[in-house]
Amino acid sequence: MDISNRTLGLLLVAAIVISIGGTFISLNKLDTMSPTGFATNNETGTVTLTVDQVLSITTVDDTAIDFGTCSLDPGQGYSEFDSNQTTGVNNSDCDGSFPDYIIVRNDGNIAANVTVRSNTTGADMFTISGGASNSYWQYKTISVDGTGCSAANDQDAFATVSAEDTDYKACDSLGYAGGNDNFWFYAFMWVNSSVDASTVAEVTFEARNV
Amino acid sequence: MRIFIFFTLFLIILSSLVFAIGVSPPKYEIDYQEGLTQSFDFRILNRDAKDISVKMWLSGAFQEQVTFSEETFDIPAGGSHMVTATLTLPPYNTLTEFDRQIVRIHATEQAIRGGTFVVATSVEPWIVVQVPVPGKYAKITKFSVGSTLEDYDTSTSLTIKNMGTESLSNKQATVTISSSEGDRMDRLSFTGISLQPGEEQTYTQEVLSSDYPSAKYLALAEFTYAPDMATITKETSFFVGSTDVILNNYTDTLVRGKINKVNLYLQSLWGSTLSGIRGSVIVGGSEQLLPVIDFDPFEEIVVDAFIDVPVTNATNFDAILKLVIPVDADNIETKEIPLSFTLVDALEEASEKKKREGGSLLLPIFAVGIIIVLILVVLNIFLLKKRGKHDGKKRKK
Repeated sequence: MDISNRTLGLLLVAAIVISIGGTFISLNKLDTMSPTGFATNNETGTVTLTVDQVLSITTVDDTAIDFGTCSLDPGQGYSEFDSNQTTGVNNSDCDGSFPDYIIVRNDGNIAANVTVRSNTTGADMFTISGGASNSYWQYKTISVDGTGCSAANDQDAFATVSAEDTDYKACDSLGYAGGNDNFWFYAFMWVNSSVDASTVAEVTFEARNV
Repeated sequence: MRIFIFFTLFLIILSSLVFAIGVSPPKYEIDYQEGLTQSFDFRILNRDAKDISVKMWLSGAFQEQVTFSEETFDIPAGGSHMVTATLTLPPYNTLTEFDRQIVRIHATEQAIRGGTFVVATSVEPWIVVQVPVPGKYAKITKFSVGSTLEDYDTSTSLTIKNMGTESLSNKQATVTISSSEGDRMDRLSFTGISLQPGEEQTYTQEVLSSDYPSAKYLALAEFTYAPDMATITKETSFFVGSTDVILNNYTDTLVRGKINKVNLYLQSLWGSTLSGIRGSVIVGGSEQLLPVIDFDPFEEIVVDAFIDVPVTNATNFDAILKLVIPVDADNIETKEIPLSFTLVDALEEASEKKKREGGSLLLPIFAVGIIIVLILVVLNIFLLKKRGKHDGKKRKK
C-alpha cells in the first residue's frame, strides 16, 4: 500500500502532538503531588518535651584576666594593678593588655544568685618573709548587656576580699535569656612592694537559687 | 637600689581552659518529719569540652545529717554524673532553728593550677526543709485573683498553711481589692478557718468584678491567726480586660532541607500596652527564643521564627509556640499554642506557590501550541520542497 508524503507528515505531526501532550500531562500530574514516585511514609512527628530546671554557670566566653609579668615598685612602697584601669592605674609595671576581665555567663534555664569567694585574702596571699602583708585584692562585677544582671544586683564598685572562704556578692540575680545572661568580673590588687613570696589563690564563682 | 620582684601570670588561666558546671534539679522542698530519712538525686553536669573533677561538700542547715553517695568524682567532657544526697532529719526537740531551713549542697569543680590566681566554678543546689515553728505559726502560701474580661466576675484563691506546732481554730482572713489609685472596690471575708499543724487549705470566693471598669487592680490578703502575732499579708494584682495573646495565623508549609522563616501573626487582646512578652518555638526538644514582644492596645504583630528542617521523609510535624506573658510585676502566665507544619520539597513548594498565586495551565498550553505550529511550518516547508523536486523530475522526463 502506498502512503503519500502528506499522510506521513500528518502521522508524524500527530505522533509529536501526542508525545508532547502526554509528557505535559505526566509532568503536570507529578507536580500536583500524586503518590507515584513519592515515599509513602506519612508519619506525624509528635514531640513530648520535658524541660528540667538546670542551674549552671560558665566562663566559656572569657576565662582569664592576664596581667602578664608584673614588677613591684620599691620606691613607692606598693604597686597597684587594675584590670579595668578605672582607678587611674596604668599597669605600666605589667606586660598584659588592659582592660581585661572574666565573663561569667548563666547557661542554665533559671535565674542564678552568683557569688565569688577565695581561699585566701590578699594579706595572706602576698607575704613578707613568711609573715602576712597588708596587701589586698578587690573585685567588681558589671553587667554590660544591660539586663542580665541589673545595676541593683551587681557589685559595680571594687569590694575587698577581706575574709577567706566567704561568699561575696557577684550578682544577686543573673538572668538566663540569650544575650542577657552574663556579667564581667574585674580584679584590682594593691601589693606591698616588700612582699617576697606569694601563694596561689583559688577564686570560685558559685551559682545558687535566687 | 631598686629591687624587682617578678610576679608571673596574675589571675591568668590559659585561654583554652573553660569552666562550666551545672546541676539539675537545683532545689527540693520537703516538710520536716521527725526521723525521716530521704534520698535526693542531683545530676551534676559538665558543660565543658574537657574532663573535670568535682568535689561535693555541705553547708547550711542539717549538714551533719547528710551523706553523699560519692564525695569526689570525675565527669567526662559534656557528660553528667548522678549524686545521691541522703538526709536524716533529727528529733524535733534537738532543733534550734525553725521555719525554712536550707541544706546547701555544693558541687565544686576542682581548680586547675595555672597562675597566681586560679578560677573555678561551683553550683549550690538546695534541699529546703520546712520545719514547724513552736507554738502558733502560719503562712499564706498562695494568693491570687484571676484576671478577667470586662463584664465578667472572677474569683480569688487563698491558700494558708499551719506551719506551727499548735492547731488554729475559727480564724478569719480578709481580701481587700482596690484600684491602682487606692480606691477600695471590695472587701471579702473568709471565716471559720481551722487548721491542724502541717495542714494546708485553699479557700476561694467569687469577686464581683463585672462592675469594675477595665484596669489593673490590687488585692491584699490578711490573716491574723493569734492575737499576739502580727497579721500576715500577701499582695497580688489582676486585670479586668484581657491580657491574652492569640495566634491569628502562621506559615504552616515548610521546605525540607533548608532553614525556613515562619511568620507568626500574634495579636494582643489587651486594651492597653502589653510589654515584655517572651516567646519561643519548641521543636523536637530544642527551643528557639523569639525577640521580646511589646504590643500596643489590641495590636497584631508579625514575629519571625526560623526553623531548620532536615532532609526527611516525614510529611508533617508538630511544634509548640510558648508565650510567657507578664500579667503584672510578680506574676507571669505561660501559654502554649500547638503548631502543625506540612513539609514539602522545593519543587512542591514552587508548585504550591504557583497555585496560591493563581497560576494556570495557560502558559504551558500556549508553549506547546507554539511548538506544534513551528513543527507544522517546518514540515510544510519540507513537503513543499519535496513536491517541487518531484514536479521538476516529472518535467525533465
